[in-house]
Parts: sequence; C-alpha cells; structure tokens
Amino acid sequence: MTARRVFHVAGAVIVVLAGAAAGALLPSAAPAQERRIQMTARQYAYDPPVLHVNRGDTVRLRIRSLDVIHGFYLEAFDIKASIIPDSPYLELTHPSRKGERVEKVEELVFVADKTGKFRFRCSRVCGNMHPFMQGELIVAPNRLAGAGIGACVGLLAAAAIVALRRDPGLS
Amino acid sequence: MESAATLLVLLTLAGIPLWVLREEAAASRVPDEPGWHVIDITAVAPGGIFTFENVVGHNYWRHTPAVARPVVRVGEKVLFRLRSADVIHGFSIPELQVGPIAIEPGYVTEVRFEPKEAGEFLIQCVFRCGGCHEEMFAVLEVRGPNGEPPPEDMKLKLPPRVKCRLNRT
Amino acid sequence: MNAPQPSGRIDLLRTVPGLKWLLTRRWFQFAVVLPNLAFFYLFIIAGAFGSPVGSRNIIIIFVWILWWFLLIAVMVPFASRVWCTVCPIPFFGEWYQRRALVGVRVGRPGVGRNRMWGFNRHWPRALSNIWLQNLGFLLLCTFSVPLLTRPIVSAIVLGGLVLLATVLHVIYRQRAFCRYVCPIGGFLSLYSMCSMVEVRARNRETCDECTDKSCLAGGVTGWGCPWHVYPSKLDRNNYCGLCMECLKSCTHDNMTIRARPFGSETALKSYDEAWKAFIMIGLALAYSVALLGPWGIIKDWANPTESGKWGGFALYAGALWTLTLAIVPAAFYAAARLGRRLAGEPGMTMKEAFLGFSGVLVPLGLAAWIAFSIPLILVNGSYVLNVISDPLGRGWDLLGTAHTPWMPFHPEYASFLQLAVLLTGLFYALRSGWRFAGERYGDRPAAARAVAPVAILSTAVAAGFLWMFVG
Repeated sequence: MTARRVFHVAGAVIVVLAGAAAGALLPSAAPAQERRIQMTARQYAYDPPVLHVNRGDTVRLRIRSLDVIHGFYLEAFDIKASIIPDSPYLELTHPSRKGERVEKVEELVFVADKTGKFRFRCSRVCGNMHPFMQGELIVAPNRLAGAGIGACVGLLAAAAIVALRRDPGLS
Repeated sequence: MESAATLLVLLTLAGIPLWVLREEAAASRVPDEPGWHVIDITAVAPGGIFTFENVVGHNYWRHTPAVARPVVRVGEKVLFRLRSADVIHGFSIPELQVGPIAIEPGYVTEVRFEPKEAGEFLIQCVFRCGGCHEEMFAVLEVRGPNGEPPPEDMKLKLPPRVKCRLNRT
Repeated sequence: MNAPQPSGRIDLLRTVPGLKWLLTRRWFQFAVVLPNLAFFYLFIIAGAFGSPVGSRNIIIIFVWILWWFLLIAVMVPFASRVWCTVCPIPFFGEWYQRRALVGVRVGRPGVGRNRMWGFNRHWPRALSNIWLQNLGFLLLCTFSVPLLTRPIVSAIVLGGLVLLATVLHVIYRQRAFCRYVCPIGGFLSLYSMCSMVEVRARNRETCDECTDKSCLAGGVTGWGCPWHVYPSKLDRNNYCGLCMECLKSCTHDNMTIRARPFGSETALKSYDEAWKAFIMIGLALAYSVALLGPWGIIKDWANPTESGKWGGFALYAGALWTLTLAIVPAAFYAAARLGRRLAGEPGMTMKEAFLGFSGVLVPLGLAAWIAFSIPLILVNGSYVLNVISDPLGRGWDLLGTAHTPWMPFHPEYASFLQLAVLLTGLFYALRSGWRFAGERYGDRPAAARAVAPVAILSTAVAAGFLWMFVG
C-alpha cells in the first residue's frame, strides 16, 4: 500500500511541477505601454472581439454602439459602462462602489495589472442574445492558461509513469 | 391519502393560473391615491411601435401590434405604465416636458403628469432601439376638461412610415 | 451477472437515519414531484404570457441557468438520475397508467402483477436504445439559441414534452418516454455512470432464492420497476431513474441505495451510448465557442431567425452534426484502433476497443459540461432573485427582490474552478482508460501501449477546453 501511495503522491507532484514550470516559462510581458482601442458594439458582439494587451499596459477604450443601448461590464477591473448610441459619452460606474453617481466619460481608462483572460459582457438588455454578448481581454503573459495546459500534460506524464512502473499486481 | 393527493393536484392545476391572474391584477392597481388615469403602453422594437396591447411570449414574434393613440383630458392625473418587450426604449413627449425616460425591458416604468392644455402631442422613442427607431412615434390626444376634442390648429399628423410600414397580421 | 459486490460502497439506507423510512413511503414520490409540477406549470404560463425578454422570465432563468447548473454540477455527480425522481414530465401519463398517485393496484390486465391502464404495448425493439434521445438532444441543441433566449420556445418545448410523455404512456407500458425518448434522459443515462450513488440489490443469494420477483413484476407493496430494468440484476446506473419503486416492491427488503466513489463505472455497452458521449463532448465544444465565445459571426449563424443568416445557420448546424456524429467518433475510433495495434496481442475486438476506450468521455464530458456551466451561474445567477419576485417580468414584486441589479458573482474566479474541474475530469478519464486496458491486457506494457493514443487524445481534449475557457 505504501509504495502505491508514494507513487500517487509522486504523480501529483509531477503534475504540479509541470504546470508551474509551463506557467513560469512564459516570457515576461514587454514593457508597459499605452494602448488606445476603438471598439464597436452591436447586437450581439463587440468588434474587436478579443483584445490582447500586456501586463501593466494602460488601456484607453472608446466604444461606440452601432444599434441599440449596450453595456460593457469588465470583470475583475470594476468597470461597468453603458454605451448609448449617438452619444460620444459612456456612462461609467464601478460595481464595487455603492450608491455612486454615473460618470460620463469619453473613454474607459484602466491599467491591466492582472494577467489572464478576462471577459467583458453586455450589461444593458439589448435583445435576445444579450446574455451571450461577450468579448475577451487577454493580458499577457497568461500564466494560468500556461499552468493549466502544463498541468494536463503533467497529468498525462504522471499516468504514464504509474502505468509503466515495474511492480506487478498493483492497478 | 389518495384523495388528498388528487385534491392537491387539482388545487395546483386551478390555483397556479388563478394566482397569476390575481398577482397581475394586484400589480396593475395603483397604490396610494385613487383617481389616476392609468395608461399601459408597451414599446416594441420590430416596427417601432408604442402599443396598448399586451405584448408577451406567445404573440411577440408572430404579431404586429397596433399603434396606440392615448386619449386623456385636461386636468386629469395621468399615469403612464411603460413596458418594453425587447430592448431599452425611450419615452418622451417633448412639448409637454414628459420624459425623456428609459423603458427597461421586463420592468414597469411609471411616468406621471397632468395635462394643462388640449391638443395632439408627439410621443417619441429617444433611445435608439433598432432599425425602426426613427419612425417610432405615437400621438397623445389631450381633450378639453369636459371631453371636447382639441382645436384644429393643435392637431398633429404623423409623417407616413417609409422604412417600417406596418403590415398588421 | 452474479459478480462479487464491489468494495467501497456504503449502504445508505442502513447508515443514514430516516432515509429508508422516507424513501419507502408511498407518498414520497408524489411529495417531491408535485412542487416541480407547480413550477413547470408556472414556467409554461410565464413563457406564454410573460415578458418575451429571456432574462426577465422565470422559465429561462430557472430552467437554463438554475436547473441546468444544479443538474450537471450537483445532481448528476452526486446523486445519479435523481432529477428523474422529481421530474414532473411523466406525471400525467403515470397517473393515467396507475390511476393512483400514491397507492398500488394489483390485478389484470396490466403489467406483471400490477393493474395498469392504457394499451401497455411493448416499446419497439428497434428503438429500445438511446438513439432517439441522441438525435432529439442534438436537434434541440441545434436550435439552442431560440430555446435558451425565447420564453415561448421553452414553454412550447416543456409543454410538448409533457404532452408527448402523456401520449406515449397511454400507448406504451410504464416509463417508455423517460427511458427511450426524453432528451434529458439521454445524457443523464450516460453521465450517471460517474455518479456517487447507485441502486443495487444487497444480496445476490436472496435474489436467487426469491420466487416472486416483485421488484420487476410488482406486487401489493409496490409497482414493478417502470424503467424496464430488472432491479435484482441492476449493475449499471444508466437506466435506473431512482424512482424508489423497487425499494418498496421487494418483499425481502433486499434493494438499497449505496454511496460509491466518483467515476466508478465507465463501461459503454453499445454504439448508441458511445455516440451519446461523442455528441455531448462535441456540443460542449460547440456551445463554448458559440455561446460563451466572443465571435459575433458564429452567434449570428446560431440565431438565424433574428440575423437572417440562414446560410450561416446551415453551416453551423452542418458543422455541429458532422462534429458530433462523425469527427469526434472518428478520432476516438482511430485512437482505439491504434492502441489495439500498438498493444501487439489481440486482447479484444475492434468494437470492444472502440466502446471501451470511448468510455473516457464519460468523466471528461461531464467535466467539460460542468466547466461550461460555471460561468453561466456565476454571471447570471443574480437573475434568480429578480424572477422569484417577478416571474412573468410584468412588474410584480412579490418578495421585494424584483429590482435587484444584475450582479455577476466573482466571474474572474471561474477560470480557476474550470481548471480544477477539467483536471479532475482528465484524471478520471485517464484512470478509466487505464483500467479498461488493464482488464483486457494482462501484460502491463501492452496495456500502456493500448491506452496511450486515447490518453493523449483525452489530454488534448482537456487542454483544448482549457484553452478555450482560460487561454
């Protein structure tokens, strides 16, 4: 039993190490820069649908609606804005602040201080597929994704090791 | 026990729709003071229509509702209960300083006002709601305090629809 | 069939106080189904007479956000087909057959010892599999956008299922709809194999000595199993609907519910089951791309009644059907074939290899679906508060929560949860493949070679989902 346990633990350790290694191996982001992005929102997608930035970048986002009122709720960055058609302003609030007054801004500004994939979603009911209207903000380096893929590969490797060990009679 | 179970089922089958009707009636009643003239209007994006009709699940996609023509009197206390069947619409009667107010889908938005002068006034949608937004109008007719029709020079004719003609089914 | 009892099972009826008493009450099933009947009724009314806006209508929120998440992430992994225990869809049909909500009737004509009304016809042999459910589910999912967003479509589908079940139960014996037609039942049958509870006979000797076989034929204390299963011989979860009837019918108190480790069974027995696994994993992929992805063009294709892009819809539907019915099966076939060849010795037939190795998709597919459902509940869960106060979206406010603003619940943590779920699914998938190969090949290296292609394929699938969700 103990030999089996050791191998199970060894397997788990390999998984974690492989995942961590993969995540750590991603090259560090380029130096922070300022990014100005023009985005449009329509029923039911944003264009560009995916934003790629680097960690530390200051993102200045202008969004224009092509049809009806849309919203822009960016998770993890405390940004919730309404995009009014025919208006140059976005109506910005921060979900974490209660009872806040709406601020009219021309662009959304935030610093991409967290890495990974974050989604932005429409927050004003804009039609049928409103709940599925979303886009992605990917802040490089996406260490979680790297670690995850590495962990999958590590798990496979661990399984191979468990399968190929010499001791007979253990499943 | 069998008869108790059967009774429960029958109570459920009858009770649920009755409960729904009761709650709907309760929600439609205006609390506080009596004497309000309540007008229910629903905004519909396909066709750009303000309607009196109940636009719900079973008719939204297959039926084009009729354009509403609310009629009120000078001196009445008017309460508009506004609904949207799809997206965020706007509601505004600029000449009477009513609104602009956003109509959120799935909620009832209330607008109260007391008309002071007789005439016909334009109701328009002020938040772009789709292809028919520019033609989304209705006419509010305000009659005199005793029901007299508005004077001729205060009548309003809506421009004919070009893009969003209404072929009623 | 008289295999030795597997270890690691806990007899719940003997260990959980009060559970046996509760499950053997004749009124138990009625008591848990009636509330759901009331809910379904309200949902259908709301779908037809309530707001057309999906996020403001209880039918959309409760069925596709709340119930779906609870089903795939809680009910199936922990309690097998327990949804079938409480499902109201067969209620009217079964009431008609039994002419009883609580009691039991014996006599003829009927089924076994029980007096049952209706034509009691046997379900056609050619359809005694889950192909109808495979195709039904695939069809529903092709039209998932109107189904998930338009209250009236959900109302028609729910009402239609109730009607169909009722009609089928007038014609055919017992729960024919549930067993062979219900689209939900199709994937419940597959994923319940991973589940942590099972209904089994306690003691095989007792069953061998039993002469009345009441679990199947029914008797004074209970109806015979309505799922066309022989409870005494039950050794898989797939087609047991946890109706608890056998617990009541067995005259020797020999049926019980046991707890067991997750992922205990993954053996697919036939092609219909294998294709269910392929369809489900393919749909998880398609939904993750179309519904949770950022690409508007695919959403337009999936939403032709609004976008007008019927050409795109044909492309989308065609891709969906080809992926689930041809491409995924071909990949697993190739992996199974390669593995069999690499192993060297025959070991098993090609069919056995194909079915056996495809079993990895049971835990992996379940994990993919749970991972898909996590962001949906985190982001849209707050709508539940709105609709419990305003089920029809008509401006009611029963409990004061109708104006709760939309509040996603820490959606940024979904990635971590999805990663954990997918890794767990991959682990059980690899283990399942390894165990299957180990059973067929006594020689360890041969077994390792046999499972290697499927193991790599499973890892690639898990990594692919991970990339879609997190990368």
